Amino acid sequence: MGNLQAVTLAVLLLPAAGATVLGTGSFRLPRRAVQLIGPGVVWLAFLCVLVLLADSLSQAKAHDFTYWTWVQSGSFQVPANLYVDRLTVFMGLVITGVGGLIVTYAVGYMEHETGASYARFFCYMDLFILSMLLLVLAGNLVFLIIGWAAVGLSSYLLIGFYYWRYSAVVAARKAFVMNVIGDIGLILAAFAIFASFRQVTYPGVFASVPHSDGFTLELIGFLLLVGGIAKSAQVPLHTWLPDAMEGPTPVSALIHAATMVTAGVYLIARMHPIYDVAVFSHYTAAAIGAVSALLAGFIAIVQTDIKRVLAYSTMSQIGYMFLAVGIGAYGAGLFHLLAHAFFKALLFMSAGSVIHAMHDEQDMRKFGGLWRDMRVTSVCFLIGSLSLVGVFPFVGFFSKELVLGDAFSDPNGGGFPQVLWVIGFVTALLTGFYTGRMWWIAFWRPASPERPVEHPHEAPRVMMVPVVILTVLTCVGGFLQINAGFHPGWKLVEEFLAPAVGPLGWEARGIEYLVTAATFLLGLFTFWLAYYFYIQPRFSIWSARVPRLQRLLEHKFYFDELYDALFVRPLDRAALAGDRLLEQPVLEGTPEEVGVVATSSAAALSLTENGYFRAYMLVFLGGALAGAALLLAYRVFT
Amino acid sequence: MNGLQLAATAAVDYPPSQAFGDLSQIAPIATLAVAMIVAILADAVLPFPRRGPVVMAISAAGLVVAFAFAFGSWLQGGGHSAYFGFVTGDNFALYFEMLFSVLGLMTLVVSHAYVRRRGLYEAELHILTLAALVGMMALAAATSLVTVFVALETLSLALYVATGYSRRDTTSQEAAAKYLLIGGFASAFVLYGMALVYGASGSTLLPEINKAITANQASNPILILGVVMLAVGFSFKISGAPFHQWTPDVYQGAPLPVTAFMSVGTKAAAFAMIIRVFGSGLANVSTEWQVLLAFVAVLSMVVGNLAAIVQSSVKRLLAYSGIAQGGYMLVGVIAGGRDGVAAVLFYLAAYVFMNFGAFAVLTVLVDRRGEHDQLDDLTGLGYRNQPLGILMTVFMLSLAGFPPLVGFIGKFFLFRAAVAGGWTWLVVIAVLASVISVAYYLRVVYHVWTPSAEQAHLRRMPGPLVAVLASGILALILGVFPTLILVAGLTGAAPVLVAAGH
Repeated sequence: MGNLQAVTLAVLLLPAAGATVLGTGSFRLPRRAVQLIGPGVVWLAFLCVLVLLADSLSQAKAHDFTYWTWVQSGSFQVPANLYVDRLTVFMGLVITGVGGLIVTYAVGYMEHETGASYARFFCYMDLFILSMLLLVLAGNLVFLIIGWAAVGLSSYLLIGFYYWRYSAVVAARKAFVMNVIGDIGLILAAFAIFASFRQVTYPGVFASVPHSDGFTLELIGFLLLVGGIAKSAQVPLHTWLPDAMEGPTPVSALIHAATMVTAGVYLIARMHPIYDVAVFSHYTAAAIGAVSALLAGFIAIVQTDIKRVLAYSTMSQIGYMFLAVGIGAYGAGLFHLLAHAFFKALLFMSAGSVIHAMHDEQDMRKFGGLWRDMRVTSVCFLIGSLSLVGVFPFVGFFSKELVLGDAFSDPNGGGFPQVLWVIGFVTALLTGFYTGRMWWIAFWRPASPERPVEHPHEAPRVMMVPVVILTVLTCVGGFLQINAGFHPGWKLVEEFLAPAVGPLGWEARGIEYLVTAATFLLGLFTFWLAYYFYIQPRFSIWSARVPRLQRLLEHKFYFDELYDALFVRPLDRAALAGDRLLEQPVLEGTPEEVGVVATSSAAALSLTENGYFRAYMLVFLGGALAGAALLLAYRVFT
Repeated sequence: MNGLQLAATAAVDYPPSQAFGDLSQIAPIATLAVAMIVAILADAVLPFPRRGPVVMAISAAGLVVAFAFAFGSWLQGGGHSAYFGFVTGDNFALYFEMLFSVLGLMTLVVSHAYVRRRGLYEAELHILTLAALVGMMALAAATSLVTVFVALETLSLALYVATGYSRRDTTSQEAAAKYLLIGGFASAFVLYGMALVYGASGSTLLPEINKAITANQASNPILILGVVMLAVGFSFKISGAPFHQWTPDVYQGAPLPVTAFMSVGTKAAAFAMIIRVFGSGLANVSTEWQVLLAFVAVLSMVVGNLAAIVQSSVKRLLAYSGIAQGGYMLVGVIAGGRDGVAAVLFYLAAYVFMNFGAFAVLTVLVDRRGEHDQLDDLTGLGYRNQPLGILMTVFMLSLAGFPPLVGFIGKFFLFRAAVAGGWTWLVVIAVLASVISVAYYLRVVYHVWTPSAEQAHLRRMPGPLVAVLASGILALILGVFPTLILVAGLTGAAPVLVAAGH
């Protein structure tokens, strides 16, 4: 085993070891040890990923590390292999880097948890990091599915972390079910791939793509997309994400902003050899992204729970990423993924600091006055907000403009990318508006009379340091990739990723920069406009004029109601019927009842297990005769 | 000239070199037999308090040496036929000899702890275990109908006695009586079947039988009747439905270590016998026994899995689960070929660890008042003893076939071989049946992790804990690195296929 191969394995083993130790020793470990192990293993994994980064900077080739043959049965073979290319390293950096900051932050945020529960939290967090790393390191479809499902599982565990709260359990269940729908899509895709290519490893699959027919590839593309949109909370499988905010805030930051929900983007980028050929499913991904971005932007305007606003903005921003990877601008989509990991984790964590200070109040109408009382957090939140809106010089500006610019200039698709660009542009204006609303109401406005805490205090240092680091990253991260015309040839992210996902297939149009400027200025304008809607109402509240629209948005376009009517209630009824007809009389009965049933009704059953030797003999003989008769019948009829 | 005459005449001219060569082929079996005799003598002459530990030490030493012999021969590429074709030391036999040695060692430690808690005599139980192991190993090595039958009876008789080992316990007595009576009935079937096969083929040696039965012989009614009777008798031994009814009663009545031992040991030995006799001796009438075994497999999977759902005793639940698991393995036997036989061998090794581990967990709950094998007794186990709870969960999930545990991989190999062999409909039934099985396996898990009023920590029992831990670790490791055993399974499968002329 080469050095690099061992390092790659260590990336997985470190969080695995952490989760195991925390899980088995949760009652015995001292608190100090938990605080050390929980984030420690993630940071060690980060160091290992840095080693991989150093390697992939020196050469662009992908590594395919095979450790052993996992399953060998006839012609079917699954090697236990990990695939390390620049895309993997990129995702690994986001997962362990931003993940490390978030887990460190959680040390402070979860301090009120008692002994075993505290360790349990970090066990789940490490488990999540492990699953996510397995997802991106997997070198074959089987490992990908395992990682994919394990991510869903650890997300379920973390959303339902406060398992004594009914709403948390329901939200966890919903997220799990939605994710499993996606898992099924992914698994069917893997079946389709294996059935048509007879391959399960990435290199093998990609080598077979050119020899395949269009229909098969489209089918695979659509099935993969089902997996992707469920995990990334895109329309129509998005309803779990807002509910998932029931989990502790670091969970929202880690899973529902920075890493897990971007798995769909990763999947499309990873499978780009398939999508580059399967045009229809590729553009479907882009269209779903654009629609999700727009819908989520609308819904976010009426949310009052600060975390739910952030959840819808997450969905919206992931929509941008889908849009980008859906038109083939992988570099742009992944750069936005990185940027989003920075500023959305920052937003969630500073919102978490506020929620922490407000004794777990999440309704932002009850905040206010935070600019005066929590200045540092407010500044961090403002920077995150402006980055979300896409204001220069924060990272969100560069990444969003790259996404929109690439869509604007895309010469392929007969104008379709330009339609997507229009949607993206409108979404950018909405983003400015709902972000402004959130900022002005929660932070700027004078303290609400309902505010639960008179004198909130700033977060402890262990929470503050990660927030500040992310603030700095949000401020400077954009300079990794400068798309604007005033600085040509400084495209580190795109160039880094090009060997893995291919370079962008077209040049930027000159006019793109004008459009960029317009988006930026108009986004800032709507941000400012929100002030005059909500703080100093110069305009009458729009919702009073169009109450129907308000209701439509408050019900989130009635997705939940629709799914309830279509799936949940019919299934509930079927389950209740099954319970009444089958479970209670047949399966759930106590042994005595079974005895009653056995002796009274089922003559056959009463014969079979009554403890009498003579009955056993009879059945034995009967069985022998039946077997002989069967064989006779078989001989006669064939 | 048939095998018996051959043996009788050749005895006149039997040079010592050949005697030594023959003995070396059955070295593991002979070692265990010697260890058993030494143990009986020690039990007879030693003062009472020291009998148990000394007999245990002798048994353990015998098992370790037997394993070493088998492993040494395995490393040299396996042995060959011996004693005029009556037994063999080929890789197939060696595979099982190693498996049974490990099983024997695990049984020893569990029995040791169990008899102490229950206040039973120790020495005899170990001796009976050794006797049964001799029978099991001989069964795997037997290549003649005569040796097959002798080995089968050796193992059965020892187990009849062991089942009734708890002498003051009436359920134990009842179980022993039932097992003996029905077992005798089944042995009669086997014996009649053998007689008829001998009558049709003119030989008791399996390779000779294989040669004698040609395609036109296949419709000989005497032969077919023999195959039917053999299939019935063999199905009894693997507790295949509808010849399974003794299983829950006997498993429940027998002392826990005996149940644990025979639930996996008998099954493994019986599968070795089925593969050997049907696969290599009667390969030319494979259609006939495939139909019969498919009948048994389907019934076992359906009846076992359905009946297990309503059990309140874990021992009975595991008995029905064993019936169903036997059905899965039959699917592999029916599929046959290199992949099918290897899959069965792999699954047997996996099953030994999963099932023995689950029974060993129950052993920890034993106290002076008796066994506690109700589902309710398991409630809160995960909180009273966390590692034990985790391991029980591992065993149940593995038996249910959850990846990445060994049970999943094992089922995968079995079903894949069957699909490749054209038995897709059987695999469909097997998969559906194993979906049902999740219900009762998870019920055990549910009980283990439900908090209970009983908070007292369990008294430590090092013996069973070691066995449980070893089984659990193996269940995990073999799930991730299945090739370790699968390669051995493929090697072990080879001699049977060669003998069948494939």
